[in-house]
This record gives sequence, structure tokens and C-alpha cells, in this order.
Amino acid sequence: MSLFDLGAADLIGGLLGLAVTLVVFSHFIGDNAVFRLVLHIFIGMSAGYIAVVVAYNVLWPKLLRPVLEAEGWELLWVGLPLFFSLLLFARLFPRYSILGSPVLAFVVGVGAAAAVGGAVVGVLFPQVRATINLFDLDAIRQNQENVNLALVNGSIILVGTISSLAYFHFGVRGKAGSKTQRSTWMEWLAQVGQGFIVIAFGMIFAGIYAAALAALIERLSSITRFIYSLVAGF
Amino acid sequence: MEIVICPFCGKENRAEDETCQYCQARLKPLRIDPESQPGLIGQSPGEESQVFSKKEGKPDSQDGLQASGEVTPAGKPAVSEPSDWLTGFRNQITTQDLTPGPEALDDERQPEARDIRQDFEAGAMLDDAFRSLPFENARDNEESYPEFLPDEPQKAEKVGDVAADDLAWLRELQSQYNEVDGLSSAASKKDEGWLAANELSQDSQKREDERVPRWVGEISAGSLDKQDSEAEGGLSASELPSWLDATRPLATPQIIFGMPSGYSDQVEIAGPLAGLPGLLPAEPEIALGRKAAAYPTQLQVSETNRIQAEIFDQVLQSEGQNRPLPDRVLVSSQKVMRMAFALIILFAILAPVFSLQTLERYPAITPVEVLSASQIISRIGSESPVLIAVEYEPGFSGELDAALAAVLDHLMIQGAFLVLVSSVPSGPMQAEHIVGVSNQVGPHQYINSASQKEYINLGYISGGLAGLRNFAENPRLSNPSDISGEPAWENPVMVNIDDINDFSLVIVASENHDKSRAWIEQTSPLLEDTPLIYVVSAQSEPLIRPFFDATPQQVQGIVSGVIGSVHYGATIGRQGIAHLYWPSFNSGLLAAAILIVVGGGANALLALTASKNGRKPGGKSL
Repeated sequence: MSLFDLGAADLIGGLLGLAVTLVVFSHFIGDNAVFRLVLHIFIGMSAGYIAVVVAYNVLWPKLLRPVLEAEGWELLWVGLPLFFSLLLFARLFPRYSILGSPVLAFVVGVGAAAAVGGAVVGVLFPQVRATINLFDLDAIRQNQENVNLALVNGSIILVGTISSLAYFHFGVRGKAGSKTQRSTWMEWLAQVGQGFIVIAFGMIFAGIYAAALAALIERLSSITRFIYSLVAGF
Repeated sequence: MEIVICPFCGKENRAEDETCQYCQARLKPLRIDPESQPGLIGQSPGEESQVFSKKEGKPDSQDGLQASGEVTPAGKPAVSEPSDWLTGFRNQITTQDLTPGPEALDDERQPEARDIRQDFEAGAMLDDAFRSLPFENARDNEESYPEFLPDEPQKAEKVGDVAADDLAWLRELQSQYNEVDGLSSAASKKDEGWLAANELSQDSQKREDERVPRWVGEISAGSLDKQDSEAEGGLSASELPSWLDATRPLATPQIIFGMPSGYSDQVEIAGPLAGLPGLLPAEPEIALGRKAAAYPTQLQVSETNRIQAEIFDQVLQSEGQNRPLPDRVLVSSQKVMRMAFALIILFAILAPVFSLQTLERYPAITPVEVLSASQIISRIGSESPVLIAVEYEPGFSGELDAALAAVLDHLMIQGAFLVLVSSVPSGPMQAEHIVGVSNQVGPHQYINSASQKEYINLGYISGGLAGLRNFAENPRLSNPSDISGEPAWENPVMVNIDDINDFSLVIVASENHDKSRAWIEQTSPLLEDTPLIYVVSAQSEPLIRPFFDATPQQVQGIVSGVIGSVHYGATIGRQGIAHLYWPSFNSGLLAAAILIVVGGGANALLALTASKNGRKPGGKSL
């Protein structure tokens, strides 16, 4: 793609992207005013965009339009969410904040129920069951896996799970006149768990570096392509 | 600690002290319960007074004053009756509180009584009483001897000797007082005044002054009982005239200051006068100055608390002090090292771009999670509805666009109907962007057909976890229209979709572990036979991996970052965006690995060198 193939929007967008990218990269030299300006622009654009999306995708189609289009008794039904939403504004005024408390309690209660229920049913029970199934010999044979290797793998996962949990167990039984500390076997188990946790953190760090590296490559690739198109046009 | 101020020297003493520790002046008024001092007295106050009068051979004038209208000691009849004017005066001052009317006095003794009363009122009764004593006159001129005194001059002379003895013991006591360090000058002067006056009138008896009466020397706290027994054979009470008895100074302060009855029964228990009964108080009780309890202004704190308080004080003081800003170091070793690392990585990334030599060796072994995802998508038929949740922020589009583009390219090849949705506000725009990018990856005409929409963007899912659950259970109600506001569920492909399980495949693309887990939590219980594939960033892949390794699986496939995308492209034999990034990505990873190894080795070497030199790695001495 050459310069002549670029439209005006592409050209302006490319130049802006190049400039903003270089300004953000300037942060590795040190903090500067231009970097902060670009940062503020990004935050403002994100906030404005989110406000537009919420208004366009939520408030208008799900809250206001049904009320405007409703007739008769249907108005009462679709107007209820709007009424409760308006009650939330009462939280801004301490004198009338109690009016918004029931609505807020409903929202928090539903959110907490969804979070707890999903965590227990969707994550906790299945993961416990999966850890137990690591030692299901029938399942191992059905999957045509090496039984010994599968048991070793399962043992490592089991030890890693238990020792990682033990690392976060800080409860001790205090005795008068003696130093309160975890028992020796618990300390050893916690040390093993710490090793597993360190390995996990190492993997996460490598992933973060890989993600950042990919983002950097994408930006540099975009810049080089744009510059190449500009140069190729002349 | 309660403190008592000495009324004489003005110095502070402990509240429990009986006498001033500096001037030995009495601090507490004499208020001794006779019953609490059985060893000293051993009998009732009346009896003690009676015995004491017998021993000294003179009547107790205080008892006499008390006895006016009260109890008269039984052992006192031998004492001659006092003169009428003294008796009248005594009655007046005890019954009328020193304000007797003229009619209360006897007419014959009215002038004398009036003079005495005026002297009392002037507060100089004690001095003048002795000054008016006819000791000198009794020797030189018998006519000057008062007529109202019934005794002969010879007897008066004898009585004057005895009185001189009395004055002698008082002077002895004064001399003892003067020996005490810090004696109040006021008190001594007060005593010296009347003593000096008395001495002027009795210069003929100076030879008697040096001799202390034996009975005074014998009086002590421990010898009272013995003296009581010896008093039987001592001076008889009748040897003292009544007028002298009436002029005893002991009665004076009691009269003036309204001393309570029974005061003569009190015995001094401290100081140089210990053991003497019926002493004059140094000050009337009402005049005893007592300072209010002075509480220490310094806190009683431990040493640790004091140190902590000092530290806290220093911190507070340092808060208000302006500290000079440290000089800004333009070039520091850390900054140089950071820039050097950045340049190395930039060089590693850009070198493949500007060089024809690229690291185009792709991994030969495809990970099982990528292979599983590819196989699932390969089974997707044409026009099968596939739900794609675009849950990443624009900042991660560089990585996730590359990863998701390969999967979308495969779905486009398969002809799947894409249903895009997001619980991130910026997600719908990201979805539109990635569909356009994926359509440009390979030679297919997926969305170039203007007559047929091959995908639909349902937009933003509001409500967080509850909204996600609502969408999973009833997507029609949750998102009835697409991002452009058009009805979304009128497409023939979407007609049969009532919940999330009706989709042929669900793909979640996210860089955030919480977002990824939320989809698993809220949708996996509803997904029965619909596979769930994750396209995730490399940083969240370790956290999603357990859901893939679990038995039964909660996630059926994972495509992670650029590496996963390259692997995925290899499974379908196509090269996408990730393949463009691969050379730079490879060299960047290699440079990072080299830096980590070199940096770790250098750090270990520095630590080893520092430990040999006995210093910490940071440059501080151990």
C-alpha cells in the first residue's frame, strides 16, 4: 500500500497513531508533560466512549424506549425499572438516601448471589472433582493413558494443591509463654507450596512479558508499515 | 503525694509528717485521742489532769477553765481559790466568748478586768500579763503588791521564784528550738518577745535562769507514769497562788483561739517537746497553711514510653521542617541500565523487520489445547451459530487480535455464523475491528456478500455477573437488538436460539483472568454439549489451563497469544497476523532470555564478590 492508496482518514489516523505512539514510548526516557497529555486524552476518550455505549446500548433501548412505547398497564410494568433507577439518585442526598437503599440492596444481593453461586457451582465443585478424578484408574485406562505416569502427574497436582493451600494457612494455636508459630510439618508443607506458587508466578510473568512484547511488536509493525507506505509513495 | 507547707519556714513536707523536717515546727495540730495513747496517759483526760496537777503542786488552769460549769476534778480541793476578778473574768470569757458586757463584771474588779480584756483583744495578753506581774514590786515594795491578791509578799516572792522556774524551762525549750536548723524566725521572735520582756522585769533572778527545774527535765513521754507516782510526794497544789495559776500562758491561747476542751490532755509525740502535755500549738489550727495537693506535672512513664514519645516528637517536629529536595540525577546507573535493556529489546524486535533474515522456524509440535480447539472448529458446519465474546481491552489488541484472527479465519472458512457480544464497553468496537482484520487475512469472501449478513454484533452486556448469567439463560431478553439498534433475533440462524446452550460453539477472547473465570462460572453449568474455547492472552493462560486439564473438561480448547495463534495457523495450514509477528516475537523472547540469564549471573557474581569482601550486595558493609 502506497501513500496514494491511503485515504485522508487513513493518512490522518496513521499520522496521529504514529505521533501518539512515539509520545507514549517517550516515557521510557522519563515522565514528561506530553506523555501525561496523551494519557489524559486516552482516559477522556475511553470515558466518553463508554458513556456513549451505555447510553446507546443500555439506557435507550432497555430503559427509555420501552417506557415511551408502552401503553396502558404495560407502562406500569416497564416503568418500574426506571422508577427504581431514579431512586438510586436519592443516594446523592443524605436526607433521602434511604429511598435508594432498597434498590441498592437488591442490586448488591443479586450480584453477590450470582458471584457466589457461580463460583461454587462453576469453579469450586468442578475443580475439586477434577482433582479427585486424577486418581480414577478406570478413567485413566479408558483414556488409554499410562497409569503410572498419570498417577505421578496426579500426585504432583495434588501435592501442589494441598501445599499451596497450606502456604496460606496462618492459623496457629497459641500457648501461654511459648512462641506462636506453625508446626514443623506445616512449615515444610508451606515451603513446598511456596515453590509451586513461585513457579506459577514465573509462568504468569513470562506471559505478561509475552503479551507486552506482542503489543510492542504490533505497534512497531504498524509504524514501520505506515512509514514504508509514506516512503513508497515518493 | 500530698504536700504540706510549713507555716513557719514555708518549706514543703510530706502530709504524714508530724513536724517540719526543716524547722521541726509542728505541722499538725495536737489532736491526739487519749484513748489511742494509753501508754502515755493510761487514764481518762480528767484523771490525767488531776494527777498532773498534784505532781506539780499547782492547779491546772485549763481544767479550772473547763470546770466552770463542768466537772471539777476530785483531787483539786487543796488548791486555793483564785481571786474573784480572775474567776469573774474566766467565767466571762468562757460564757460570753471574750465579749462580756460591763455589767457582767464585778464592780470592784472592773478596771482590772477591763484592762485585761482589752489586752486580750489586742493579742498581747501573754506579754503584758507577765509584765504586769508584781515580781519586782513584791520584793522591793510590798505596798505595790495588789490588794486583791490575798497572799503575803513573802509568799509572792516564793511564788515568783517558782514562776521564774517556769520561765526558765520555757527559755530552755526556746534554746532547744534555736538549735534546730531552719527554725522559723517568726516563731522564735514571737516567743522571744514575751520572754525578753519577762527577763527585763526579772533581772534579779538571772541566776536562776541557768538552772532547769528538775521536774521539767524529768518530763518525757516515757516517764510520765513514773512521775505520776512520784507526784504524790512532790509539791502540793496549794503552794501556787491562784492568781499565778490563772496567768499560766497555757490557758491563754485556748481562750483566744477558742481551743476545744480537753486540749491540755494532749501530749506532744514528736519533736523536741515530745512527751510534754498541754503544749501551746505553734499556730492555731485555722492558721495552719495547707497547700492544695500538688500533683506532679510530669507523666509517670516507663523508659520505653519515653523513648517512643521522643521519637514521635522528633517525627512531628521534622514534619514542619522543609527538607531540601535531592538533586535530580540526570544520568543514573539504573536509568542507563534501563535504557540499555530497552535498546537491546528494540534492536532484537526491529532487526527481523529490516532484515531479510527472519526466524521463520515455526514450532513443530502443536499443543493439545490448540489442536483440540482446531478440531472442534473444524466440525462446525456452515451457518452454525457461534457465539464469540470479545472481552479484551484495546491495549491488548496487538496480542489478542493476532490470536483471535486465526480462529475467526478458520470459522469464516467453515462458514459459521458469528454472533459477537461483550461485557466490556469497548468490546463491541473491538469485535467489529477484529472481524474486519480477520476477513483480510485470507482469500475468502466471508462478509463481502452485501445481501447476506454473516455475523451479528449483539453489543454490550450490562449488569456484570448477573447480566452475564441473564444473557446465558435468555440472550433474547438480554440483548434484543444488535449494535446498530436493529432487531437481532429475526435472522433465520438465530430463530432457534433460546439460551447459550443452543449455540454451536462459544468462544471467549479475554486477557483478564477475572473476565475469563466469570464466563466459566456463569455459562459452564448451562453448557451441556456446546464446547467452550478460550482465546486468551499469554499472561492469563496459566490460570485458564486447569479448566482445560480438568476431568471432565470445562474448557475444550485454548489458543494463547501469538504462540497459540501460530500453532493454530499451522493446524489449518494458513498464516495470519501472528505469522507476521513471529520473527520479531521470537527474537524478542530470545533477547529477554539472554538478558535474564546474563543479569542473573552478574547479580550472583556481584553478591559473591561482595560476600567475600564482607559487604552487602547493595554496597553496605555487613
